[in-house]
Amino acid sequence: MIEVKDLNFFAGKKKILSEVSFSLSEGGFNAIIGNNGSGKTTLLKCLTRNNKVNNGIIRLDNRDLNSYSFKELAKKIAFVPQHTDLMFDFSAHQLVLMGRTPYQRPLYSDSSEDLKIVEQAMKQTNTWHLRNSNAKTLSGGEFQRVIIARALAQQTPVLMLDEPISNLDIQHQFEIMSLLKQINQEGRTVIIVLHDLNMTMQYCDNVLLMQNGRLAVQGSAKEILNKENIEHYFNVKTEISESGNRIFISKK
Amino acid sequence: MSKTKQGFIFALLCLVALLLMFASCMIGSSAMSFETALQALVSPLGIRLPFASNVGENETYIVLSLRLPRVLFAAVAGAGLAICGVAFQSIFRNPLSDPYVLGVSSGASLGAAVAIVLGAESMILGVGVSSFVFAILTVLIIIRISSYGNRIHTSTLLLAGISINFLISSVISLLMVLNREQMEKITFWTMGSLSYINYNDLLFVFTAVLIGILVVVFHARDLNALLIDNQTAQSLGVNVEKTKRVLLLVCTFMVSSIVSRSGVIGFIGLVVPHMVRTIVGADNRRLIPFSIVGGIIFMTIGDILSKVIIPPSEIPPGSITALIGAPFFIYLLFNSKKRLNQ
Repeated sequence: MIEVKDLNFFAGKKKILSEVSFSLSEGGFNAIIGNNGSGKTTLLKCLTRNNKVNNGIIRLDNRDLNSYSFKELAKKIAFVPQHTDLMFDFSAHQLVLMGRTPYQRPLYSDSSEDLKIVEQAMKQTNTWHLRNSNAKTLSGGEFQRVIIARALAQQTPVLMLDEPISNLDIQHQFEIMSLLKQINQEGRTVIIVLHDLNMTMQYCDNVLLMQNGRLAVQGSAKEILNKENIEHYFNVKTEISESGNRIFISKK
Repeated sequence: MSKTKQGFIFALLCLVALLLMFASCMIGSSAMSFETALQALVSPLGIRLPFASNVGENETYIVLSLRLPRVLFAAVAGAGLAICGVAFQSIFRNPLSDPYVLGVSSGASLGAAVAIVLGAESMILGVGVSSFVFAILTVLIIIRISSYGNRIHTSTLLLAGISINFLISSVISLLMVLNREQMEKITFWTMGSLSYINYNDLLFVFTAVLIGILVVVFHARDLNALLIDNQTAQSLGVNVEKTKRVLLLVCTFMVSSIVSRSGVIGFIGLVVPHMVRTIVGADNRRLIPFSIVGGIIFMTIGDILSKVIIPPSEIPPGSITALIGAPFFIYLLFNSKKRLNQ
């Protein structure tokens, strides 16, 4: 479904990504992990075309990403940022309704179908009861669920998220990850940038580990998140629980 | 607020706007009664009102040829400036943006002054074209100064606007000193005046504002997405750069057209959208129609006040809008201190 070949990305003269190549199949729950500055977010921004790629190829459904119009792409990929800084007062419902933008024509009002899809997305993310609240007054977890609802309302086969749980407490982290798992099981491909290795281990089936702008290793979570790899790439001492789904980390 | 309630308020505001415009037709150096003004207004339709028997040609002339174009111009300019405020605030994702604060209006007035000094005034659209070119240049300079990476920072944007305003007003003063014989005309553009508006001005500005408003309405949804942030807007399918460029160009065209005929009238684009947001929220699809009516009301009140405060002289309407707008701007600045320091 997504194919990246020889991707290089420069910010000014500085090379951020070099020679990144991988392919992701449909329906997977993929994590991009790595240390700060390893190029995770830059890679995700290339995949969402927020970073324009000139050097290398990204193909989505066998078509060059650059050949999509923004509108077409918005029907394929929905994006959830790490943080949204709202300057103006929108209700939660208005925010989710924006997810329908790529399907709506100018001057037309919201169709009953749009409203139905928005209602479904908000119910699925357990935000329907918040629909009339000012989005600025929501808690971090509630707000992130609203933003995920907006992505769902976009009805795209692919959902990309940039560290969506970094600003949340542990309870909400699990809540969001479970929600994403559920969304993934319904058929959407998820690509998520994560810092938390335990979450990666528990929820993701495919892992891309980035280091210094390169894709260091790729494989299943169990394969990649072993003691040696974590010590080598993250420079910390680890123990992995016997059942193999918990990572205990201490200072090296 | 429910949609029905909003609809009711909208209808009420439209009525207020019409009444104010009518009142403005009655007010001037010679005050006119309600019946006289009404009779004069309907006379081109061949209607004779039973209760207004002796309305002479003089009164009809004053109302139809002197006051009506001015009243309509004020309405169109108010609507246009308010919509420019709405669009600028979305494009820059900044509630303090307005064509006046950012120096775009001053840029246009400098363009007008330069055209006068160079004698391009008599040329068709000479002042208009020059205003537009200078306004666009001002916008480009401000964006260049205030953007860092892909972001435009609120504080730098405001500082850039204020410094450009300073620079332009000093250049205009210099032009006035060097061209004493044109001083009065140039002052007209810096202070703003609606005294000499005729139907040609009205037609020109009406066309510009109509085109501008249609383009902004067409992009209302995209503007909503832009209010969140660029990245989100793009992921929702908005061609961010193109949309911003088109809207900036169209709004600058609106502002410069208005300024080229009436001079600088400030703060409408700041005050009106803010007040309207307290009624309808941030959704541009509702904000736009309400701001059009709000702009008409605000500007018409400004025009009426400019005529009645020290009759028979007129105060420039720009100074009235600034008298209301500047304290409002300070109030907003006060409330957004925290954000500005981010």
